[in-house]
Amino acid sequence: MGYRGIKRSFIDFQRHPWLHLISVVTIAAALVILGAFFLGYRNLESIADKAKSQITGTVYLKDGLTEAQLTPLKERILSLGMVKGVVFKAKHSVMEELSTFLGSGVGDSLPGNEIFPDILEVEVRREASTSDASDVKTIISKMPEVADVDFSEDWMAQFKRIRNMFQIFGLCLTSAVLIGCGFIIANFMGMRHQARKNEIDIIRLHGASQGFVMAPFLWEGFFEGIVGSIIALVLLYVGKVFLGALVSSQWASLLGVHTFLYLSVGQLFAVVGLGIAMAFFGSFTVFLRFQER
Amino acid sequence: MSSKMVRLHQVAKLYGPERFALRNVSFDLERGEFAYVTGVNGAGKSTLLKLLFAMERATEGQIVVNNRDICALNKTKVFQYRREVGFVFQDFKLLPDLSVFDNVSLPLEIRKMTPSEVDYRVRGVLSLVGLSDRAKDFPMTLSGGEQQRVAIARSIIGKPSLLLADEPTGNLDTQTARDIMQLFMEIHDMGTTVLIATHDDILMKEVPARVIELEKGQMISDKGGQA
Repeated sequence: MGYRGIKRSFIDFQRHPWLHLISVVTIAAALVILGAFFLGYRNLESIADKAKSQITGTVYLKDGLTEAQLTPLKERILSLGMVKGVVFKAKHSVMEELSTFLGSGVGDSLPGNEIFPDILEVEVRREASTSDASDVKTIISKMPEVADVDFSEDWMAQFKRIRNMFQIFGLCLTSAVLIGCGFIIANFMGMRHQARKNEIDIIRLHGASQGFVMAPFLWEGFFEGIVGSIIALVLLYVGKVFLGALVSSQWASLLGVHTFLYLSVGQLFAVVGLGIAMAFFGSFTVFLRFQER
Repeated sequence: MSSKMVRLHQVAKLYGPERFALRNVSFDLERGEFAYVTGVNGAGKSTLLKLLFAMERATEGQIVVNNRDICALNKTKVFQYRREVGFVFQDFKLLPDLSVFDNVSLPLEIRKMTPSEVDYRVRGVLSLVGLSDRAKDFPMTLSGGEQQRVAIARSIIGKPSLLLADEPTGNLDTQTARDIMQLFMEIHDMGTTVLIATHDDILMKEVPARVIELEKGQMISDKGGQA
């Protein structure tokens, strides 16, 4: 398995460069798909963590409330145990914020202030759970001055569901891509094996063990896995930089994130490991297929 | 240790119902003996050599080589056994992408010998077959006779106690065939047991030795020679 296997694998890299290149590209493509999923998952987690620590709510007020009605309302809300702060925003300031977020060109085309009510922005304490936030929401919605209430805990629950679906989808995708690419790689390795069948037969006739015969294939798989995963990681990094630029512009305030994260160290190792695993899987199926009977 | 290098007892090989390639073949080869297996095409010469090289298994009977029952060898033991027996093929079976040196050194690579040991033994055996100056050449650039010499060099580099050759001169002209036979005699003189399958009567007369004759898979004669 040692240096002789490595030497013979390098000889084959020179002999069949295109077949090896196709294997590397297949591995890289599979890992880009998987890595994209990892990237998405990591950033979704990051958004979820951020959102979890900042549950906020918007209280839409009925029209025509006076200052005399507003002050006791704010005090009543603040007196609720889990509420940290309450800020009043008049309809015109809501309109201004929206115009700023959408840009002046779009903002100008919006209808007038009349479509937005006055609001109270309610910030829930960090230690509050989503059920605490739900309780606060229920109490506030029953107050006579309130038209409607919208709390981010609803969105959090929705987000959690999406995240769970994403997790299941990712698991299925990972399995499918791994198996599919493993078989594609196995076929290319099979072609290389076929091209070397004569050589392998001759080697066997001189007393080579299965291990000696298969060693270069396993090394080739190892090196292809390494190269394929490095290519995939570079492509993912380029994608991360591109998406990072997008996120740091307009989406930042909407999603509450200001940086698009790259893969974690664990995910980096997972990508490289999966690349090698795929190539090994390909080698191993060839090993089984061509085992001397 | 028995003086017998090869012992075949009632060996039969079937390739299908009633399709005998060999039937009731029994003979012994002494250590250091030189012998031919002869017969027309389809007589069973190649099958016999394949059985002796553990490329195929006998359907019936017993084959003992160097005190080892090769019909009872498992896959791992077969690999090890083949390292102890040399085999020369009619079509040489050289690897076209490897140089003469690398082709000859292949059995030593399989045995995981050190590079210096490989180098020493390959140069020695190339000198024996008269190809010292062609070590870096590739098989395609060699003549048929030279290719067969490379194949012989590869088969003896592991110092086998038994050398089998299947029609080793079948693809060669008469003079080259004589040279190759001379080489086999030199290898035999070094103490190796040699069994050659051939149907070349002229060569057998020029290099007389024991002749085991097969016909339709059965041994019909076993005549002693002078080798």
